[in-house]
Amino acid sequence: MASVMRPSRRLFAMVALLLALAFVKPAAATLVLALDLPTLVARADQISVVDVVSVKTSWNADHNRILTTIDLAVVDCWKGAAAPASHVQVVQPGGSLDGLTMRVEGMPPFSPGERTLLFLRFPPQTPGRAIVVGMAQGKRPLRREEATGRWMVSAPGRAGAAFVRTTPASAEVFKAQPRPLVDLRTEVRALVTGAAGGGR
Amino acid sequence: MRRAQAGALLAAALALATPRPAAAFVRYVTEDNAPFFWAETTVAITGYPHDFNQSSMTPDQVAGAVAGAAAAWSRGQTPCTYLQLDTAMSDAPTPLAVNDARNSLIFHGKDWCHVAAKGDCDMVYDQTALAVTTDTANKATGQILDADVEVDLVWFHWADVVEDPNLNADMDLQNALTHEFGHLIGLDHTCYDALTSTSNGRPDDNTGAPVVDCSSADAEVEATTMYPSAEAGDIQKRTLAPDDQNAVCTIYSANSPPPALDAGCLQCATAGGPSKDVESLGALAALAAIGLAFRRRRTAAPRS
Repeated sequence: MASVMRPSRRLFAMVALLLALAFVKPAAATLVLALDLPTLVARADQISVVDVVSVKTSWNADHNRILTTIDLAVVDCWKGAAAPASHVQVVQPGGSLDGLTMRVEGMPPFSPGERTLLFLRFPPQTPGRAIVVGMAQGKRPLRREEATGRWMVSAPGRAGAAFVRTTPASAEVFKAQPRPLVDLRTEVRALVTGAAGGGR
Repeated sequence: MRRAQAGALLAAALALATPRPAAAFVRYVTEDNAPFFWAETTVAITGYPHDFNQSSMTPDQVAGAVAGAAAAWSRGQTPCTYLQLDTAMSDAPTPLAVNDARNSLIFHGKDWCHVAAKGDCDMVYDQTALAVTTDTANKATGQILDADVEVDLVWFHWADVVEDPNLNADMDLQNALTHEFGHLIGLDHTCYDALTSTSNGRPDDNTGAPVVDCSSADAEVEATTMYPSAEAGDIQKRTLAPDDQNAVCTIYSANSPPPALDAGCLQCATAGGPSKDVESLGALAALAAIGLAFRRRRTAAPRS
């Protein structure tokens, strides 16, 4: 019996070793890059909690590119001068129309009825039309906590849109877990008024 | 019998010890849930370096970056695919990035925006984006009809970090283009971030499982070309990881005819994902061999 088992043990050892080697993974070489909160705030012309009223696709004037126009109703403006219930339009490339789907990486998706926090910029080249700062990074989904009824803002993941660069270098943007919206509001307002002393 | 058992065990172990089966790749899908794909075996991409206004790269380096990025996804470097991305550089004025059935690689050196026919910006891109890739596909079938890649030279500085390693504070053009060409052939990112994903909801990967969270992605996923982040000087994405290879070799497998050559199979190609995952089958075969070896051992070995 012993003579039968010894080779098997060697075999199992070899198998175990090879299996172990198979699952050794190299250390991650890619750092995660994202905009931090002070940069998001600084780059935004307007920061608002909004309700998504409608999402409509259309062709551009040259009829060779699909655009998506998102109509937003302001609920609470943290930066800028948007009054509650006033409307803001975000226009971004991509969408589906006339049997075609145009997919543009990095553009945040919107759904009617959704409540979200947006960091918006109004480029002078396209008056009256906002874009989301940092592409999808400037859209922070909100959800109401069942137990407390508080609005919570989702924390960012480690990855941003494809190939975003950190500015400044610290990629530690928000807290890792969802946090109360009112806390973030306080922090953003402090950054807007310059009372934060350089941010987190 | 013992020798056969040993052989089976070793074969199984070796099979499992080869690079881990490609875990996951993710495809773009239309609103009709049709995965994106090219019906052609050869996809032509024309680069227009007319507006490449940075002295950090020579025209040859720019052309080399474009060709290198295309080669990574093509059959020469990846023989298990029939796909060929053919690149050419043109001195012509920069065209528009529109749905015109011409796949253009465009460098924006003056304004980082989508340029309309009149020459003005009709859509400003965010300054955090190094590049923007637009795929236009048939909503019902997923067949890609046009793809354009626009590169941001306004906010980012580009280099060939391999040839000029002292420029590692710049972004490596070939690195970025390899990722963008992955989008061009219909690939989504290899992980999902609920906050920043372009997808409406978490997509499924090639195995049918919900794609892994970026926040918990392992090193293997982070090493993929289609992982959604990069840093200055990064050149890792130039080389396809096993997951990326599995993607191009599953969607555009050298072992199956391109859908355009077999009209009757168009639905097969668009109906939802890969026909098989060769590496996963290898792992299953290895497990089966282990099971067989144990079964033989139990039958043959005398009870003590």
